[in-house]
Amino acid sequence: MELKQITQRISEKFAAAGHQIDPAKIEEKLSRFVVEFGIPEDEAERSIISEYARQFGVESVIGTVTHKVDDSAVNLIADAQSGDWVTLEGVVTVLFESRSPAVAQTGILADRSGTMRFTIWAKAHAPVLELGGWYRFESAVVDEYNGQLSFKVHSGTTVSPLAKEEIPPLTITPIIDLPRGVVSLEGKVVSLTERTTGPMHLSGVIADGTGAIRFTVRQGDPTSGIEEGGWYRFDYAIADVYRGAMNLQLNAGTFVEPLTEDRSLRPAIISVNEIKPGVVCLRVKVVQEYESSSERMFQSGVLGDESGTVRFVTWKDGGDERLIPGTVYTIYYASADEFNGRPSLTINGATCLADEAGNIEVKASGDEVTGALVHISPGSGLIKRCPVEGCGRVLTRQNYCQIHEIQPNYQYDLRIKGWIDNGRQTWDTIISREGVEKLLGLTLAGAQEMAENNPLGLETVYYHLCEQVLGRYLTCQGRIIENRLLTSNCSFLTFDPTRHADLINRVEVTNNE
Amino acid sequence: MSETPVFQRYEREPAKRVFAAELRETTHHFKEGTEDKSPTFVLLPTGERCNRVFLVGVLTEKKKSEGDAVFYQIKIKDPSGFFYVSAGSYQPEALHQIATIESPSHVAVIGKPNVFQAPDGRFLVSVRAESVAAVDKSVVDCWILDAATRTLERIESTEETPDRIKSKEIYNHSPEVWRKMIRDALTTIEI
Repeated sequence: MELKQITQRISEKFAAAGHQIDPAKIEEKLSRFVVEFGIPEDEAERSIISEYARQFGVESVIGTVTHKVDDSAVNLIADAQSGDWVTLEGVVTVLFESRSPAVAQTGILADRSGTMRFTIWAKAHAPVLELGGWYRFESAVVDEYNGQLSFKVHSGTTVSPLAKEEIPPLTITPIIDLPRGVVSLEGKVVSLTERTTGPMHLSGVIADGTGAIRFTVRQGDPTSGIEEGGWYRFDYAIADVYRGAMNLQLNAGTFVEPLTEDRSLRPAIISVNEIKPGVVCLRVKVVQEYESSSERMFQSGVLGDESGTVRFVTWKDGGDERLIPGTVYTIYYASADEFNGRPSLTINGATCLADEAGNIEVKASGDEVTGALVHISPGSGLIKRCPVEGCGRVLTRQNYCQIHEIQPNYQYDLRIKGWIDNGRQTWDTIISREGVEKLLGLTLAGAQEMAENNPLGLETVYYHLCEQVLGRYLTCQGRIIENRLLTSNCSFLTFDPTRHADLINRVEVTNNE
Repeated sequence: MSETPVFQRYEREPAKRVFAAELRETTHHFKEGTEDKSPTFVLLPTGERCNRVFLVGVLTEKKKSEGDAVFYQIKIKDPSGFFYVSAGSYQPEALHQIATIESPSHVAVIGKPNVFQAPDGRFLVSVRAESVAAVDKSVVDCWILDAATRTLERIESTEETPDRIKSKEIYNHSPEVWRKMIRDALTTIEI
């Protein structure tokens, strides 16, 4: 590149920031860097820019370049990296209120590859962006804050609105294949909920033959007139990943066009063990209903099919369809999220059709671990729990609860705390009273009796459990929550002749003796 | 018997399933980290590190140390050979448990392996017991299947972990040695 060009670029950049520099001075400096000291041109440019920026106290406006990208081509948001100088073309999907007088506008730009937050410095004197407008940003700088990329529009950035014919054309994508970024799709609005609180004005689900996706419309966006049950074409909607699932955002830049032709939609029913975050259709039985644990909850419980079980919840906002325990339902377009590493369904907005005659053999849920019980921890055996409702903490020998102090009217409980180990992995496990009772045939009452008739008291039960269970192989059923296995049912492993025969075969096959 | 609060979640080292014949051939031990309390490991000839073992067999000999400090040494037989297990006053639980078990009995042991070098240069491996429990014959058979499975997994693994590479440098056993040991162990189970 010619030194004159670089000189011009530097001088324009600072002129835009309100600082005139004699181009001859810049060129002389540049030539010293490049000709005399053999510094690469982009490196020299960066050094000079940062020197002047410091001199004028405008570092935050000018920024420093670490890596120059060819500014003639348009970059994709997905390819941008911290430190890049980029040219981006995209649509403004969100504008946030500026919190600082130094910032003129801030929001989110989307292109066909993804979305990125942007900040326009007040000193950049850029044109005011409109929500839903398409713009080209030349020489914006990408940086990183808290692991999140954003780009800055400074005085050296050229911002120009795109003419209608410059807006990149899009093709219709099936819902199942939607990538991040600006997309076009056709689908049926299968559910629609109006929100009175929060930034989202409308939310719902759009489905086509391949799948379904949640969508939201922000407050103030003019995308109105969509109705539940209607088919539409959506151009320039934004798809992005939110809580593990692709979500669709309709905004001011989205064109919505009703489709007049009548289309049929056959939703794909999946089994419970296939649930991933997103929108799902299931055929399930209501296994259990929980007592409501929150004011906002309308109903919660467990659904299941032949493949497994899943928790569900219906929130009070607009949810009024109570599922009847024991009944089979076909549920269309329920929202699946992940909660504590497990899928959880939200029924609000879904369509539930009861099949009174139907029945499903529900597979027992949960996790199963087989291994040796290699350690029994203190706190196992017969324990005393705090009787205060909702507490249930284990009391010390002196019947002392951490919260409720001395509790002479304690309740007894029976459990085993320990480590189960399969030779590769270990789990901190708690076997519940039911589990212990079934495993050993020792009831809570029996354990109490054992303790009362022995001078060692409670410790007798502890030693009894150690003698009976320590060092044994157990198959435990329950739930694993963060490496802790809550066992509700367990049994001693017995010798398996089939496994024995398989092992003999396995060890023989490759034996060349 | 109060609750011990767990301030820090930690990964407990799994107890490896190792036959006596393999543990006896183990000579290399090392420490992970430089601190005093850093865990120590032995490197198994089949290519995995081991900080804890779970073993089941017949307690054939029980020896109480002479002198003031109580110290037990027990010998436990599995289908491939003997384990040497000990417990001292730092393992009160195991000490108490061993005291109540008569030989011969089927026992399960959870403990930490250590490698010592005798004055004549031979390496000796012994297991410092954490827990010892008298069990019945079915646990022995289950353990043989378990140890056979895990040992086969170790010799059949093709993953070139640093431990596996190191063990190939130190030990030069053919995998066939271990296959024969596993097969012999499996055939001791009477159906």
